[in-house]
Amino acid sequence: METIAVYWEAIVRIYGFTVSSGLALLDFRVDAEAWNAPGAAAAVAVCDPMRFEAAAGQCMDGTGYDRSILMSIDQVEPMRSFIEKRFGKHVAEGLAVTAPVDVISFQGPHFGDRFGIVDTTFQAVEKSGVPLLASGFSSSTVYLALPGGTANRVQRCLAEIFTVPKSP
Amino acid sequence: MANEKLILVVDDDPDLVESVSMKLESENYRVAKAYDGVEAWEKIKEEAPDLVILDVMMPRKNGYEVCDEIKKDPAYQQIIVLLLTAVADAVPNTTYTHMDGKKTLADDFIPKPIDLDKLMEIVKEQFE
Amino acid sequence: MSDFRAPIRLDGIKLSQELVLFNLRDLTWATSAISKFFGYLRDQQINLPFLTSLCKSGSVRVSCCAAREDDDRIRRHFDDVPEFEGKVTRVPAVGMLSLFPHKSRIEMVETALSAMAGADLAVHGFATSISALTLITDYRGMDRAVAAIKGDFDLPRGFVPMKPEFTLRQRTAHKPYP
Repeated sequence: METIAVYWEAIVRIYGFTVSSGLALLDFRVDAEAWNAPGAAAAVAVCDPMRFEAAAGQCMDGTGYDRSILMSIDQVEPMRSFIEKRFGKHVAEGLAVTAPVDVISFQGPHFGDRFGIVDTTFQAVEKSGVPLLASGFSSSTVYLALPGGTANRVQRCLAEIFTVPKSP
Repeated sequence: MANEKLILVVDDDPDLVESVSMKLESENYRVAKAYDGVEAWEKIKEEAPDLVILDVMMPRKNGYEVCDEIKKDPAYQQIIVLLLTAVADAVPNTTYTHMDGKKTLADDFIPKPIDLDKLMEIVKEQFE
Repeated sequence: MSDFRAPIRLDGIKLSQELVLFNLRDLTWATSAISKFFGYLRDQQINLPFLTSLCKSGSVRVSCCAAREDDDRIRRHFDDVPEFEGKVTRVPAVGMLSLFPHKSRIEMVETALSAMAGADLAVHGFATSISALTLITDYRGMDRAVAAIKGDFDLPRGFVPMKPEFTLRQRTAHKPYP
């Protein structure tokens, strides 16, 4: 496949930082049996509209998913109810909620094609001293979930290397 | 109240299309979206936008080709075209540099990334 | 309550090239292994187009994808670092299927996962970005995955999935973090 462009820049330019506060991080495990339970698919069709900030799933050992969802705190109970309908009571009872949570997100051109973005991001978070609850790097966006009240500290460290050009 | 101006956002990065579209809609513009040059041209013919924010590096048809087609077609040449170009010092080994963008007939050339508030200022200036 | 909802509208689907997935578990941020791993990737100029991490009770799990051609170098690194012994699993021949836009709707994510499960297609991980839901699935099943998604979502007339036609490379690392 043709390589048509090569990036070189001493700093990483981004479109801007977005910070959301007062969210909840939900995480729960869905085993293979719950995934295929009768009614699991039907529950989706009657799901009440619910919005998320970010969502992710990891399948570590092939036996089920560890899922995490960032959403506003007032949607936690409707989400718990949906999880019970879709995956069963035992999954809903295993739902862990961390709140309040701050989320920083940012995007840059061709982030999915350029090495070093992950390393730089994690180094900045480490420098801030704030524990990272969860992260997602996909398409050209980065999401970082942090304990409530810590986003500004992390953003200051990120801003030392990720910059927003002010003028063309 | 919705603006009467329709802006077409074209980029093969759906995240950027979404960010720019949300910003435009917050400023009450109407927005259409396309994700490559072929789809862009189809949307232009269907929806006749007033302004196109057009990425350069895209599959199927690049932004330079789309810009040339717009500006050379009497039916569409009045459409304002803002090219989103790779910054020359960031992408030196490519045919799609910011400098090459200046050889096209686009109305303005914007290096990526750009602060979205600044992009809104440029859009407003083009309409004034 | 009605059990019918109009199909959710998507603008498109993007497909990746062939990738390899690595799952790292039972690690902590305090150990140097994770930061050394990302530093190694940077030094080797290896890109990660996809990564998720979750920290539960101090134990960190990372799930990440790299290009197929980087598989050997990454595996050598894991073999060389004792802290990774028994903590890494590898899934070869995967690909990313990115559906957009998700409009921040839970039902979109659940519909996509149900569509994949209904077609007996593995989802090895997933994550959302500003606009897209990216699913990691078996590379050889990606055409079937597109068909499964088309069956449960409303896609534009004449829709063709976006496939990579060119690459963009980074020539040198940006300056080290201060």
